[in-house]
Amino acid sequence: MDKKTLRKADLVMSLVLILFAAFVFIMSLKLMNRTLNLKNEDYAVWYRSAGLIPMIVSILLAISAGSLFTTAWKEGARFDFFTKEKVKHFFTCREFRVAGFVIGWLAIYIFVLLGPIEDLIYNILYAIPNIHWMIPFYIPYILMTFIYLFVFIIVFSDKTKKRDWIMAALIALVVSFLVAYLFGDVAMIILP
Amino acid sequence: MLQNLSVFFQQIIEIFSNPGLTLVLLGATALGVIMGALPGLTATMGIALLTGLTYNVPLEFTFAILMGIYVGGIYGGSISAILLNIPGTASAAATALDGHKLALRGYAERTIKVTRLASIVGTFLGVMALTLVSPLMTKIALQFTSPEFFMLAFFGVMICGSVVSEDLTIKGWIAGLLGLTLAFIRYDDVEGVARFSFGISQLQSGIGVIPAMIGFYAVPEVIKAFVRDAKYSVVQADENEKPVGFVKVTLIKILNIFRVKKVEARYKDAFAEQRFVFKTVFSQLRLIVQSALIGLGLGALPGVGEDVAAWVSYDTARKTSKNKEKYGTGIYEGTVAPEVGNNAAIGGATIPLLTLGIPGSPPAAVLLGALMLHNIRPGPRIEIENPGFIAMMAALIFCAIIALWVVGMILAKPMTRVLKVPTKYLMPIIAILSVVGGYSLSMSSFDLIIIFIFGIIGYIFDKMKYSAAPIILGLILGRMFDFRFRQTIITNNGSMLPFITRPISLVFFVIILWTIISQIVKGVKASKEAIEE
Repeated sequence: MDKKTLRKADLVMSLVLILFAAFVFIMSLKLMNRTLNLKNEDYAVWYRSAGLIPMIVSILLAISAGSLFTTAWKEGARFDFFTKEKVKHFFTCREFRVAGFVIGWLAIYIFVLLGPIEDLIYNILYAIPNIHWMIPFYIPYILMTFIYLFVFIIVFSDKTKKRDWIMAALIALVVSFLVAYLFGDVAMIILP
Repeated sequence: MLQNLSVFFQQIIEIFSNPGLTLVLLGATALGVIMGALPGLTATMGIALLTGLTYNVPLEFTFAILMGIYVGGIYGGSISAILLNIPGTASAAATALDGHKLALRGYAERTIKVTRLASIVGTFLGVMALTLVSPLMTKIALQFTSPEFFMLAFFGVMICGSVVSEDLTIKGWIAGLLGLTLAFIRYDDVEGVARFSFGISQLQSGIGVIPAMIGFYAVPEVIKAFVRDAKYSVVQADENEKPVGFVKVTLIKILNIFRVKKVEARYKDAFAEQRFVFKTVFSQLRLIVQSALIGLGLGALPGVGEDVAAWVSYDTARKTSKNKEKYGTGIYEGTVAPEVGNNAAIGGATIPLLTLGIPGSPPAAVLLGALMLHNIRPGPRIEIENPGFIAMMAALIFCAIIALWVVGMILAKPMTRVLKVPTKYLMPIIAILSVVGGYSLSMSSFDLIIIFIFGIIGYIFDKMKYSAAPIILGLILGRMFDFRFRQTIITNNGSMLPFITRPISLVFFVIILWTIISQIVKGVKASKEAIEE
């Protein structure tokens, strides 16, 4: 990000930070009121309150954000960047697409693959009578991790090459097994 | 003092005359290095995991394993910090500032060697302090009360904010303040009320440092790696450098006996490489002594530990250096200072642990549990109840240093090869390891949500040139910052005077004030220059 764009971003960020600081301040004020309204007078003192330090920090944060706003403004930043072209460019640039995929796929891995789908596979596998005892408990984890890795690798590989598909599958499989074995079996860490 | 030293050397001889113990120490140190290098797996976690397994293990073997993990883990964090810009442990975050820049220039293996030697020197000085001056160190540490701890926490966040900011200093401070705010999300220690948890029960125990750290560092690095893929040049640069080691030269010479076409390998080159590493580290003698003293002092303070020691060492090194403007651009000085500091803190943290029963750092806190498990009661009577135990611990740390040297020699090259793995394979694996590492500490799915949310915030902050380091340090120190402040004014009925009437606290106060004023003046000047341009 060049300096000019960075300062424009700072302008927006400083406003977000001021709003955040205001929110923390209000929440701290509530905690302070709670303390001051305690029935036991020994405890109803301002300096015991759980809201005291967050209140001070929120004020410092607001001052710092204000200073950032002033600096950005003095250096020529203005709110003139919300044009249709610039917004379109932002959402179509390579970095945004990469970030969108990495974050989105990570979200699917954490919240879907390691969540309901892993549970579903676990329930299906262990519902099979007489053989559930021979299925290692981390098979669902291996499957989900394999899917995550395979898709992740293949997205950034040359999809026209057969070799890349084989390599992606091989690496995804080996890494999934290794992680499950080393963490689950050797280190005895419970897998997600 | 001399008697302590003689017992210490006696213990070293005993350890090395037991091949089983030596092998266990070597294995534990290697495991510690690997654990430290993996994002999310820290020295604290390594010690915690293995403590339970040592229940039936003899005392000297138990502590050989645990001290090996401790020493290896603290050093290991710097490897991933240098190679991937993802600190394996929070204490290695300062090393990443210059270490990764050096790796990008093609000096990854050499930087790993330099930080290894710096770690060894730091740990050695810590051990010497543990052996020789532990009673004195304990006395100094006991001078720290609430006002000093509050000032130290404030000082840590402020200096970290000033040091790491790539853009405006105010951004470093904002990051530090945000870190502190995040640390306030938890059950309050003083009033016993849930604070900023919004009814989410998991938030009542606070935001975990490790999941937050993984989110802030790992996710942005994965994205950045794919964005810069086309022009990423670490591999090529590293290959041009080709540092050689004695082990490799010996191996090549042995293989040459069987080869028709001999491969060139000279001990002279290996010697030159080692000489460079030694010269780089030992030419910074003032820096080493300064960082070791900082590490020892901060390590000896209860609850402060290696993370803060590394940052304070880095900042002090920068402020006192002739090349202060080069810090953060990739200089060896910038990697030596935090590594000496955080490793010296190992010895420092062990001093109050053994002599007072108060752990100086999170790994030392877990070690306290291990001591209890083996019926050792740390405290002023430790030398009466378990004569020679402090010397044994010091000797084990010393032997772990030697093990670290050996392990480091073996692992430096293979670890550097990480950079040669194509991004499309390496980064998805890093993402997987981060998820497992973040989950493994408390085995809570909530930590995965933390990794995800902080990953997004971390990426936005990274784009806007806010460093993650002050946020993480704020998160670590926030509890101490809040609790110690209120403890001071509660015990003084609302008076804030102790912050400036106690000498150590006053010193910190003056330094903080000076840091703020000097940075504001500098910022105003820079802003004026920018407007004129």
